[in-house]
Amino acid sequence: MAESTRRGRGLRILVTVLGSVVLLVLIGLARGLTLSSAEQTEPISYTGTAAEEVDAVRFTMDVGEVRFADALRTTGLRADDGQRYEANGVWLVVPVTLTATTEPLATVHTVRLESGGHAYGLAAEMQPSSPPRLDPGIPEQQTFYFEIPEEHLDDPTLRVIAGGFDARLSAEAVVDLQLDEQQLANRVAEAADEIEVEDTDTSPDGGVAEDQEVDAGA
Amino acid sequence: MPVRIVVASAVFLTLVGVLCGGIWAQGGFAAGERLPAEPGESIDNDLFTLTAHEATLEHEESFGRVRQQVVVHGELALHDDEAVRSSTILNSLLDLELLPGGHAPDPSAELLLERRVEAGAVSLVQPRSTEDVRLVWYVPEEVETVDEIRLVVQDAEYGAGFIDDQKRWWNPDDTAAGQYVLPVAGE
Repeated sequence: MAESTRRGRGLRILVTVLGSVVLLVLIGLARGLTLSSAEQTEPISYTGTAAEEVDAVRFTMDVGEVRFADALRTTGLRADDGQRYEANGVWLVVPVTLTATTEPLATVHTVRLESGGHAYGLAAEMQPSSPPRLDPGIPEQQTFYFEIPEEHLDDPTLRVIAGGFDARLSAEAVVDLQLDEQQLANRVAEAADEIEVEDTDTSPDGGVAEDQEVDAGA
Repeated sequence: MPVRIVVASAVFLTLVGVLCGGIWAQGGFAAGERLPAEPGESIDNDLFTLTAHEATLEHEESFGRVRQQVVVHGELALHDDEAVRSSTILNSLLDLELLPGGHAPDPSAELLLERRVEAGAVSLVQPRSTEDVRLVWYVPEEVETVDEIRLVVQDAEYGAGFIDDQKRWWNPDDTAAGQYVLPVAGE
């Protein structure tokens, strides 16, 4: 009789200990799900493909036909008019149409081409300067120039963040360019020898050409 | 038994003494004054490796105004998988001092790719790229002579600050990874 009570008590202690351990683990996991303040203000992302217009709520983005080139040649009123720039790899020329939806967008904060685990920025020095802001309902055509080493060409995805004072709480459009390995190899092999850099506007204050930097100190 | 303890203690104390003496002779645990790196030597932090070769003093004429600039020629290798703004590297992670006098240059610094100098300053350094670069700083008008420059490469850390909680590359502890003292060759 005494034997069985002792066993019952041992079992109860065991259940209590195990239960406590399980609860502690659950509390730990739940705490891990808490968003940091940086995560709470991350750009709100909308994904899509190059075949469709991607609606990022604050703006829409339509990606046109991507062209590949071995070199770019500048034209027009640039100081380096007529210069040929060979790519270290290949040039990707990506035409996009951006349209603000409800309110003017002062800045396009970030433009990145993610490819092969690397996030490439615009070759801003090739970028024609562009209108300083997007007005609602008026489509703005932009051409983005990226220089990508061939070995890093893999599943290219265009990421554009726009809408806020900085990237925080901005809208983000993530567009899969839908170019698989075989297509990429073909496009690189058939890359144009040279593409002329468009020179639509010569105002020095470009909207998309340069990332906005906000330095609030430590 | 006591003899063994005495011998063991003596050996232990000698070892500790030698170790302490060695550390003392090396200058202790405090970070020593690092000698400037030679031109062509590399200095690296967590974000990039810079190999400065030489510094030159040049004149740039724009809109009828002649400005003096210090140009550091070197190689820059980026360790990040994401493009990084040139201004982050130039303004937050490199520090230039004009010698003699110890003046700071104008805040508008530029980064140019050697293979694309005609295209002008680049605003982004591309991921995992290694490029021959020109780092350009403008000399303030009141500075008359520049014989040497001190180029300090700061440590870099990717993280959020207290006031600005956006994650970015910066130098939170204000520590240096290394420095160059380069003679400035004229035109």
